[in-house]
Amino acid sequence: MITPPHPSGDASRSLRSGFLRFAKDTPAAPALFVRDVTRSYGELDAAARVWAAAVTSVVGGPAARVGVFGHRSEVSYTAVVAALYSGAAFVPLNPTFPPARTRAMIARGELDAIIVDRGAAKQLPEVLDGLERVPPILAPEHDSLDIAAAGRVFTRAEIARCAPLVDLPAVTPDAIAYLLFTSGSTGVPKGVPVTHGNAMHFMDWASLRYGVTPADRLSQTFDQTFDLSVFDLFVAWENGASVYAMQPLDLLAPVRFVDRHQLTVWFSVPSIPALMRKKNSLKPGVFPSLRWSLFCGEPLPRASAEAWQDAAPNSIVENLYGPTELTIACLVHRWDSRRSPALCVNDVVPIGRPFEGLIEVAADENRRAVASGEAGELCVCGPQTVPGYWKNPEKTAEQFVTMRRPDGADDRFYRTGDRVRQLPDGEYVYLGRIDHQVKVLGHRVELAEIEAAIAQDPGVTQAVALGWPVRDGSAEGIVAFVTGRELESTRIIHAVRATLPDYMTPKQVFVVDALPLNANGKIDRPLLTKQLEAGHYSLTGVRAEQS
Amino acid sequence: MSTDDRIVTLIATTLGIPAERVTDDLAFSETAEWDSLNHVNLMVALEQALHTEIDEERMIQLTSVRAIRDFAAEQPRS
Repeated sequence: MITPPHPSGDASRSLRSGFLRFAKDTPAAPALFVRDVTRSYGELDAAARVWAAAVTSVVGGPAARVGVFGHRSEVSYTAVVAALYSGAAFVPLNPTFPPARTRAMIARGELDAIIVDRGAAKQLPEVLDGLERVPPILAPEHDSLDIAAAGRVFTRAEIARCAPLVDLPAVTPDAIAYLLFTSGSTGVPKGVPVTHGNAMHFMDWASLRYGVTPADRLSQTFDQTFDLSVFDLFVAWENGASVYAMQPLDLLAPVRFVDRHQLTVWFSVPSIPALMRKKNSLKPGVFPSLRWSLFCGEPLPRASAEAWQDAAPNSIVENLYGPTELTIACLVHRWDSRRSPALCVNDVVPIGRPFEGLIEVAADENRRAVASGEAGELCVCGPQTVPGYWKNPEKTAEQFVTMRRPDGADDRFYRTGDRVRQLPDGEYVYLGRIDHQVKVLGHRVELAEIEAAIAQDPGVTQAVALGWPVRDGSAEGIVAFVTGRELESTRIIHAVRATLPDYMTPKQVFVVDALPLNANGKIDRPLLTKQLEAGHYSLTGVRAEQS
Repeated sequence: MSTDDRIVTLIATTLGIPAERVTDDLAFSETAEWDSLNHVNLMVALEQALHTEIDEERMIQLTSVRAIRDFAAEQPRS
């Protein structure tokens, strides 16, 4: 009945292959639960074929990149399948981001079409305004959509008139499956194109390791603009399982959601167990249905792993590690209540070992392997290393470099910017960032991008952004220090909020006379952090009893 | 201070916004300050102030200033 999931070496396989197989073999099986609606593989397949035809029709030929502008909705998930069916890459856009950022992503990504849900459509007038090339819009939930800035628009009736796409355009392993944007240091989001070949290497690893079957129900906790959401959707669909989209409030009440839907696989950022611990709701035995508990996206505190293991006693807890540029995740540590606590460094769970088929090096500044047991920058090569940044050869040359593998051969590595150290048993531990990147509630943030946004204020001379307060290696928010003339912190925060997502907007901006410098004449960031810890700055708006 | 004033102050302090902005219609995720992290902070602060436990079911109902005021008014005075 169920054919083996890994017909390895089949070059025609792509990210949509599993979905297509189950849509054909078990069309009535549930594929997606979202906002109280369950959709089967057959239903999603039928809708996606019609939407794919509409995309092709509105574009006037095959599309290369299709924007998915929506938030945890039936449209936002169906659109991903439709984009892949049309032979295009999907490019997630997020209505919780400021319109200016979404506009920049549409322009940078050179999108051929955008599929929009009801909630996100409200932002379209602002998002499209000022775009040099306005892509056609597909609005499957609208009977009419009157936007002056829009060009061609296909609403519900026009989409429904399209005959479902029967023969899907072929995609090669080198074709882009999805294009995601991450925080960039120049103030412009960086595009990361991930190929079908990259993605399928991850899918095959995950399918084998987690043995997901059609009986499994997976959580969908990540925003679609976060690449870890690709795990939720496609590890489910590659194996005929169903995926359960959680709304923002559900993420605050995971016990209720997991119990109601009897989820079997949990995957989230460690911020969720951290919030539950804060609220004292991560209690022993509350997650009996889970068989896998997976975390990724930021350092996993030992206490969270321990509490979650007690809360989900029938599950195996794993800590995954990986930047978008290495396709979802590339190292993993399996939590073992007896063995793992002793392996934690700074009370953070190890990131473990690279997946089979990937090769890692902990490198020094000269890109040579450090001696075993010493700290170095984690660099990874292999089938999950993406081709480079989207239309950014300079940044690509900086981060994707030729280095010597341990077997002596040269290969193309991605430099993660993460400092790691190898333990005697071969597993890696995460020590921190080598540069000025921080993680804020799971989002990777270039502090330089925030500083660039603050410096837009004409009165600002110098700006420094810091992740603070930091708990268990991850920042809860951003605070900034500025020097200059006639500065007003509320004005700066207000202006930054218009260009950057909430998690990148400083919660506090301190206007200071001068910034402390270190021996090299550089701004002494560690000292500023220490001064914050010591309460040198009056933190109106940040609770004093922040634990 | 009345219970109502106490609740307004508690919400303003926890979210880090001026008390004038704590109107009945202010709600979770509709303002940048009332994010997931601060919602949890707010629930913990409410639990302490009202000497009660707020379970998940309740926590996802207490998502506006109005709902929180009504809930606080139902609690026995401490």
